Amino acid sequence: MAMFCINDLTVTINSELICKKLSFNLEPKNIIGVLGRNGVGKSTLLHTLINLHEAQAGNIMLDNKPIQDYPRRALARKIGMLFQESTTEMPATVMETILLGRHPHRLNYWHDSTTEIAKAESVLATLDLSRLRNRQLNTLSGGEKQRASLAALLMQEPSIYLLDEPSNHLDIDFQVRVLDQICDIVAIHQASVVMASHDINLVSRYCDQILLLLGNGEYLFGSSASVLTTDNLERAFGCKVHEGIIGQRKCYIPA
Amino acid sequence: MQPRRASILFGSLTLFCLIALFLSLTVGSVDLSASQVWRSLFASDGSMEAQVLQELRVPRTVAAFITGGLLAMAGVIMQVLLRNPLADPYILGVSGGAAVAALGTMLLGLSGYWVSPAAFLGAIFSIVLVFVIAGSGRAWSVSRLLLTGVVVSAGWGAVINIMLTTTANNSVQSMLFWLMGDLSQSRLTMWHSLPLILGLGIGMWMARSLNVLSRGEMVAAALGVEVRTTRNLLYIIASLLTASAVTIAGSIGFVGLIVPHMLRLLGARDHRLLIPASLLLGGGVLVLADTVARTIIAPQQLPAGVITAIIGVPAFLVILRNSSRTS
Repeated sequence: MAMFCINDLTVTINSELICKKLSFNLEPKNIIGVLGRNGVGKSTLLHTLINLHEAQAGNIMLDNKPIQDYPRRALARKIGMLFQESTTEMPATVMETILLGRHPHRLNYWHDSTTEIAKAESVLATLDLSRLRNRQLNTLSGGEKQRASLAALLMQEPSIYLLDEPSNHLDIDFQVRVLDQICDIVAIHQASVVMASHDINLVSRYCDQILLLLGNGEYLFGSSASVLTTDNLERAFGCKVHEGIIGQRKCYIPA
Repeated sequence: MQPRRASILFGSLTLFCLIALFLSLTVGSVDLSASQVWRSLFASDGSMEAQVLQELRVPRTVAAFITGGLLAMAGVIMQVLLRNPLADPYILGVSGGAAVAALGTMLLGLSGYWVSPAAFLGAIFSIVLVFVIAGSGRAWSVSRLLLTGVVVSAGWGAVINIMLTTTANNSVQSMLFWLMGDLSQSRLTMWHSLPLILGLGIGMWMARSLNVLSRGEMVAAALGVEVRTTRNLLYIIASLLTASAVTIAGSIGFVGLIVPHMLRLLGARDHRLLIPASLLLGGGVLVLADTVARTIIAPQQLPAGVITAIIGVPAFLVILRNSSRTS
């Protein structure tokens, strides 16, 4: 459980404004979705939240302490991030990769304990990766790689999950299974999530609050119901959007 | 890697090193038996066997082992630092700087005593040069470091070629020997084992971070690695290991590139295993290569660097073939 407060955050990249004076609190069990056009700065914003990108102004407090004041390892025990891509040039198997998720935690330096291996086995099983455990990372398909990265994040067991395009490369079955899994963790461990995605329907299905980045530092922030309107989405994405209801879920498609 | 497989790996590597050391001590212009070696190793009777062994073979064997170990460990670290499996210890120009300085002493006709110190200073100069240029401005990135190193290295290459083409014939051969890597001129002191021990210690201490860093800097930072400090330290360590190796034996090729890959293909991808294993295999390979280099067309000697490639290429290709078949 962790308290995460973003106060008056201004983020820029290459002198382009991503958000200006953004404030919100991420409380346990919150799931916030970040939406916006390609290149609007969703990933950079997530990088800022884990101190991989420096904010122009404002502060980010984790349990009443600025995130810059945390040593990397202590921060990694509280905040975990799923990146859009990771390097696979250097050889490693799926099992070796997901055990790296335990790196921030205090562990035996010389060998991976049986508890950790058992934990890894169960994570592999939930993501249907058991069969691939000894496969080289660079021989996996995009979706399998994505699940391996997610598995490493689940091993990390942070209180705050930052997910950059979690549904990337995943087929519809896994999109739902993976996010259901994360929702379970959120419920059980009082965790919280900020996820950036280009998939409006996925965000609308899982997130209770939405940050809609409009470009030039403007944004809308609020509950799903208040932010996800066709007007707002048309403004953010610059195209006509239709809203409909399929099987009791609100869905948005380009007109 | 499971503990059982790891012990098999280390068992075989140790055996390989012992065989290489045994051959290196027994084979040569005077062939010695195992019992002669054993008797003469600590004998102070001034016999010919004792002299050959104590003054020639032991120092040369130890120099070869240290150099090989240094290069292989430097290769492992450099490959992680640059996230590039094709990186070798010389890719960032350390050997080029050393070569220009070493060849410079030969060009000036200074005595052989000056070659090693000059090589070390040249290497340090190149390390600092690349670091300062790549690190200037805030955008320190792997590709920037790699580009800077490769370009500086190419610059050194040009200077080396000028030296070679404008030099009178008689010193060209010693220059070429130095460039290809040669252990016959190395003067071993106790100090040479220091970088090996330091490199092993620091490498083992950073092994877990190396594992994480292999997945990329962003991922490593998110998993708790202080990336900036770590990569600066890795650059310095890998460069100093290389500089030490080059100072002992010139630029011996191939060991630093291929030994890490051989071990990875054999399953030692975890740096907690890979660092010590590469020390053993690198050391053993170079001891063996040097033994071949000084005996195969005796009394003439070949540069050890040539032999490392001749032994290493087929051995590597066989392992590559087998590993692609099993996976």
